[in-house]
This record gives sequence, C-alpha cells and structure tokens, in this order.
Amino acid sequence: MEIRERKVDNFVIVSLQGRFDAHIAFQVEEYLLPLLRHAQDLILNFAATEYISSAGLRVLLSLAREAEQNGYDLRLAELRPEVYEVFDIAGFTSLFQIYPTEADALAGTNPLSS
Amino acid sequence: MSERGELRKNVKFTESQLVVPNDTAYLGLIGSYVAYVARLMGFSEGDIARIRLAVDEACTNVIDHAYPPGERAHFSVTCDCQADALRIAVWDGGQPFDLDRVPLPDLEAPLEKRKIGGLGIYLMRKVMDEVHLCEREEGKEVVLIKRLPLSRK
Repeated sequence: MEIRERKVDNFVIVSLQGRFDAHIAFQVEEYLLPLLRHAQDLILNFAATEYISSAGLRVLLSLAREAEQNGYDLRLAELRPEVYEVFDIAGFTSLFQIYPTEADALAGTNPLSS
Repeated sequence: MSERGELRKNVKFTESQLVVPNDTAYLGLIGSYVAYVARLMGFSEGDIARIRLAVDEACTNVIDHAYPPGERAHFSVTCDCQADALRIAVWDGGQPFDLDRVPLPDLEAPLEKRKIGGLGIYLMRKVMDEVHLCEREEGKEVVLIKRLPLSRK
C-alpha cells in the first residue's frame, strides 16, 4: 500500500492506495495514529483503495476511538462501492463520517452517513 | 448463447489449486487468483469482490491462528468450478478451530464498545451462500460456496 499525505486548509488529507489487508494493516496503523494525533483534523481518501478486509476495519476502528476520545475530526471520502459494502455489512457506516467526494469531506457537505 | 455463457462453459468442472506459505504477503496473490477464477465463471464484479473478501478472511485466519507464531507452513486454496457454483476450499494442516465458537460481533454497539473479534467470520458468512468448516484426516478445511446468480433460489 502506498500512502500519500498533503495539507488542505485545516485538514491533512491521506490517500491510501492499494490493498488494505492483514499484510499491511499494522504498518498503516503505526503510520496513521501518530499522524491523527499531530494533525487532529484528518481526511482519509479511499479513491485508490481497491480492497479492505476486517484487518483494515480494525485499524479504522482504533483511529475512530482515538478521534472520539480527543475530539479530533476524522472524515472518510471516496469509498469505492465494493469497499463501502464491507463497511456497510460490518455496521461501520454509523461509526464514521463518510463523504462521497474529497471536496464534500473538506466542506462537510453531503455526508453519506452519521 | 451469450458470450458470458460461452466463457463459463470453458471452465465447467475444472479444478485448480494455489499452494502458498503462511505469510500475509501472499494475500494479494490469493485475492487475484480467486478473482480470476470467479471472473472466468461469469460472476459479476460485485460478487467477485465478495468472493475475494471471504477467501481473504479465511486465509487470514489460517495465517494468524492455525500455526504457532514463527512456524513456517504451507496451506492451499482450491477452486472447484461447478456447473452452478464456485466452491473454494481453504485447507491447512494446523490447529483445529471451531467457527461456531467465535462470538458474533455486535453491529449496533457504540464506538467505545465495538469489538473486531469475529468480524472476519461474520463477513465471510454474509457474502457467501454457504460456509462450512470440515475436519479432514489431516488438517481442516473451510469450504466457501458462491452460487451463480441464475441458480440462486
């Protein structure tokens, strides 16, 4: 998985490219948790995330907990239909602020959930 | 006959097998392999994603739990293209495991109480038509079955 980050307005936007599976989950968590603490306002862009398994969901759950406990703003954007379906089946759509596009995530408009 | 029907005819009753080390680095290869076979059989892209997810979860369980930490082993993924379904068997020679003893995740729980244990097995059961755990003379097998849409009841 390739991770790219950039800053837009108050948000750090992280793009996750590739498979978010058990092989990479731990490293992604090690990367994203400190970044969330530092940035505080984080958007995860899933446009290039072709796959997610329960191992990836576990990482996102720990990020969401960290965000909730500390009042950070964590937003998810541009999930592919097959990735959104995994969130949906797992009952995760209600745990996250999910937006159709990155622009929506930045503006906080048209949320798909929460 | 449609083009899809012709393609499916070509792989009817064929079996293939991938043998891989118990290393998560091979999950991507396993996903590509089962997606390839499912696509040959004419499954929709949505179903291909679901099959890939179920097999990935089954294989992740094998890699994480079947063998003591550090023990090197191989396990297999067998795709059996049947007339009306894809039957995938994930076999390993490691420790026994009882699918039914894994608690179901609470999908309504609030964030702070949400647990991830059991979620992989729950996903597997949700996206496949049948999931069975079979003890074999040597080792065990998780059998995942996805029926082609026309034959679904």
